[in-house]
Amino acid sequence: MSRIDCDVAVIGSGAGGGTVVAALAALARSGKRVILFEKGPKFDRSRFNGREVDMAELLFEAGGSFPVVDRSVTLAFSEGVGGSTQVYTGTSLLPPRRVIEQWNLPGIDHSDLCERAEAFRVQNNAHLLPGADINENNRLFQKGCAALGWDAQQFPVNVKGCKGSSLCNLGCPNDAKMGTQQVQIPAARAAGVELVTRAKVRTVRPGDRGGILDIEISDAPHPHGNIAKSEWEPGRYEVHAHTVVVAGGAVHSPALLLRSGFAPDFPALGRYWTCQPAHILAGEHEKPLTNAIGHPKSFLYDARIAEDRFFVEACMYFPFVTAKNLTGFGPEHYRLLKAYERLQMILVLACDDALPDQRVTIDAAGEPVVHYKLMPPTITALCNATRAAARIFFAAGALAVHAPSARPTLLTRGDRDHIDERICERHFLPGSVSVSAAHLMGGCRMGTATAHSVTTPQGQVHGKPWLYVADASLFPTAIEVNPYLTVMALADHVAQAVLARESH
Amino acid sequence: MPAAILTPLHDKLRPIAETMVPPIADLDQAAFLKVLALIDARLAGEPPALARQLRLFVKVLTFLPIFFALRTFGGLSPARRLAFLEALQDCPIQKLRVGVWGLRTLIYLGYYTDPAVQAALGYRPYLDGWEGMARDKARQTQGAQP
Repeated sequence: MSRIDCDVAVIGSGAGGGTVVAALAALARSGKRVILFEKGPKFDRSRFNGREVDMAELLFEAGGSFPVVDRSVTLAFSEGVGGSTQVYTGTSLLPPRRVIEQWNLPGIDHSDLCERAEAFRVQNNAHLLPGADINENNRLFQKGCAALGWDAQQFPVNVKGCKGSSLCNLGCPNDAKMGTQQVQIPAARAAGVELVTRAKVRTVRPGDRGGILDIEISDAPHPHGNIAKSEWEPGRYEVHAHTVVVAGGAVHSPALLLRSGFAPDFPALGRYWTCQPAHILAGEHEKPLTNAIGHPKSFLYDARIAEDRFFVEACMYFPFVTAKNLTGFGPEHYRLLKAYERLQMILVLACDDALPDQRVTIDAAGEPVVHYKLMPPTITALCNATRAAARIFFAAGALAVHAPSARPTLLTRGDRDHIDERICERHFLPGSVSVSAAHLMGGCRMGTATAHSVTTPQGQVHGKPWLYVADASLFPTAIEVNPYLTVMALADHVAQAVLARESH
Repeated sequence: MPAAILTPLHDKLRPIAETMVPPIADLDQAAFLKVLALIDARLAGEPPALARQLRLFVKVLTFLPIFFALRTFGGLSPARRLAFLEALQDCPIQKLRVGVWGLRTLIYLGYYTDPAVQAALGYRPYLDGWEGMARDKARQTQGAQP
């Protein structure tokens, strides 16, 4: 096993790790050795062909359908340089005051996080798309909300040179999305931060001068053809770092700490895991509409988060994902798919509670296992969201609405006045309704005591001054918005603590 | 070539797949095997236990109707096949619901990711987005001119 020494090792290159290395650029410029390790390869846009299966297999773990243990929810998260910022839609929302104040953590201040988040909005070119670039699918969402007197908010999105391919979730073929692979990581590398791809960190443990990483560099052939080799030769490495920052995301960060033997000291490790479960609804219109061209996600309606625990967003998905998300099968399901170019789509998301039994564990091989159940309040929130979305669809002129929590699942215009009765929790059967989640949070939550948390509010693992966490696994509860900008703000906050440590 | 996981069960799977996705009935055997090959490729990286569970589940779906209708699944009328699967989809046992959901999702993967099928549904992706759509429309307009 080869030994490598460095000052700071950052594990994971998504919204968290990418932000940390950018914040540590000054350290690299001053001659300190900062290394960013990424489990996946570096992809370039020539690989992004927009085909569903190719891209799902290339960019997502488990093809974008990582199952929880009871298989009632599938999780979508990405690997490769940029992590899930490769496949998000770039919706750039500030952390909500209500949630940050509920966290009630010393040193975590809402206005400070917003200031950092605003800086990243500028850095990532987040802005409101002009009206001419908004497609009909999004306009219908806005129209439906307006007809109901509901206030639809426009998402700022972090794109530059967006051509409207609508393929954000399959990797932008035009490099228009300003994720960490486009902005923060190139800046960090220019300052001297080293990037090592295809590097799987097996364990992290304390050493004489900080932490020791056991890393395996892979040269295994990728099932989808030629993938860039790692910057290091294949094999096992022992990396000795003065400071280690774990930013592998809410599934892999807790899993890494668990397989590294931290569980006995941290009863909260892996626990209080949330994911803002979601599913897609479709409304059928009379005429074709532009849904597969243009930015897919321009509007949301979130006015009822506090009371009803949901928010809804305009969205567009590809035929297979759409087929998967529409409940059922047979002639009616196929008829709706055949209406694809007349479909308006809405994503409904629930704010789920952070509970100790919702958690990440590891299997015998040390790989993550996610124990997550759709709890009754979450199902109620999804049903409330479905009712709201059905009203938006009909108010926008839809002829019919597919609602997974209705039997039969198709609501016609005659059902408009009976939405509350038709959409019902008793029809929401976990396992038969397609629920997926991409907002994965918790597992290494911040707090002030080890009984209920893993890290301090500065992201330092309790009692381990050499070990930090800087990703969505820090969230004590669900953030209740699209999370990437909060992840970046929090990672930047953590990076300041790392900088302070390295400066002494 | 990925390991054959569901392909060997093609005769049992075909009536199930046709019930879940009616146009699969129009596919010839080679095209249907192509659908299954795509599913097998997706399953190649999954734990062997999952493959075993899937194969077992296909057999359960095939033979379970014998207890209710004295016929295998393939021997049922199309309407009764659909009713049987719908009953399982909404049954109180979550593992059965998950099984139906998982199998139908795999069949959707094999069928709806085919670019020709996607085009027939009206899905027309353009890597260059608005420009591509405008170019395509202009070409269609020119083609329509006498």
